[in-house]
Amino acid sequence: MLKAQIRHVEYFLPDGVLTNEQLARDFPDLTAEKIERMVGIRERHVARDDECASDMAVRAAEKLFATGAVQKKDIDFLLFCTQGADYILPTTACLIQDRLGLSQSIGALDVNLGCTGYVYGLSLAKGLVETGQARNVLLLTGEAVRKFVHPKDKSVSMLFGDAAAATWVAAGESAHEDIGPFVYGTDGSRGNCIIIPAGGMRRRVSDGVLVTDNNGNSRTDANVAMDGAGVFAFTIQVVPACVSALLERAGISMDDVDLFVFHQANRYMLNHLRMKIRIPEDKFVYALEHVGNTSSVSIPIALGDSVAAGRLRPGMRIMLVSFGVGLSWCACMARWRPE
Amino acid sequence: MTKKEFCARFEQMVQMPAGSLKGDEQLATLEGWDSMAGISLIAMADVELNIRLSPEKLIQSKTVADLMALLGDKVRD
Repeated sequence: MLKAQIRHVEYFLPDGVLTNEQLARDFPDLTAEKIERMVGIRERHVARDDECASDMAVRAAEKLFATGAVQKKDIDFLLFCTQGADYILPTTACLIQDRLGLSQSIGALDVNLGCTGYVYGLSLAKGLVETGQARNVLLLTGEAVRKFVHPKDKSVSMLFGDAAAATWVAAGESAHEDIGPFVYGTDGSRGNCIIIPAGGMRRRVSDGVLVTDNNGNSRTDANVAMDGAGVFAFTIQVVPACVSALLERAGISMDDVDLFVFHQANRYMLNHLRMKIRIPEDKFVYALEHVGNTSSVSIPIALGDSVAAGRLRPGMRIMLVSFGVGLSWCACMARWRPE
Repeated sequence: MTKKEFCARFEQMVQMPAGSLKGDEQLATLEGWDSMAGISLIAMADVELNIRLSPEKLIQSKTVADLMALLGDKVRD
């Protein structure tokens, strides 16, 4: 049976770097050590003003093609997941098709999801491959969230970093499912827990008014606003249940999973989830110290780093768990099937 | 968990000197009572007391005693 398989992952980080020391200068109540203790992040990468999520995604894709793992001419579907499209229209994936010099006989579309975007992207890629619509899907995720971070809002400035990743999902002969099963969850009633209110169709133009909240963080309605406590409470409620549901759907136990790769929200939350779900530390990936929370790019970064460190090896069974803006959560099982 | 134990844990969350909290303080007067302290309290309630605290309930609380009341009989004299 032809099954969708994750063959290769590459990622790109922009040159700009924001360290905890720099942040501590902007927020006198913080020290570099305190920031690291709170969120487990030492630095985040920052895209240039003229560098969009698509630019980074193109760079990530070029890195993937440079490995020789797959050739451009063989890509027959392009998925680009971002919440920072180049334009209201046209679709950014269409522009990327041209920039990468991919065939004009391919499908291309954008996926608008944040932290859960990578796992959703795998789901779409699997659907395309296993229904015979595509054989080689290029799944790009890219975010330049820092463009929306107000410099006086430490709640988000400590966390977010810019990045992009390129994943090759291909059709391969396999006796079992190499991507899947999946478990999904959505709670739009908590959509305002992470939101950029202005700039979309609901509020096209920002009022530009600077507002300071109870925690001393300032932002306008054109900046990203996050209710940290709300997101934390939501996450510790839904993620353990999501993991249990996925294990049940896959008919396996925790011991059958070789590596757990969660969305890298922040280390405090990851520690809490790991202990609550009782995942051994040697089976759990932390990959945010030098990149921060990179939204839909965090899981492919964690996969890439795990491969480089020798922790993720061919045939290993991994669980991918994502949660965040929406609010949205999604998890899947996968086997690492490098080319 | 006793009230004394709760106060000791809460002092760490809001970065107050050990033994300085009486339990009847107004939260608005505590400099360290911020979003991160709220997250720490939600985390402690979740893992140690198996209680799901909502951020809305934390926001509605006026005093340290109000927070203790949210934990019901899991915090006793």
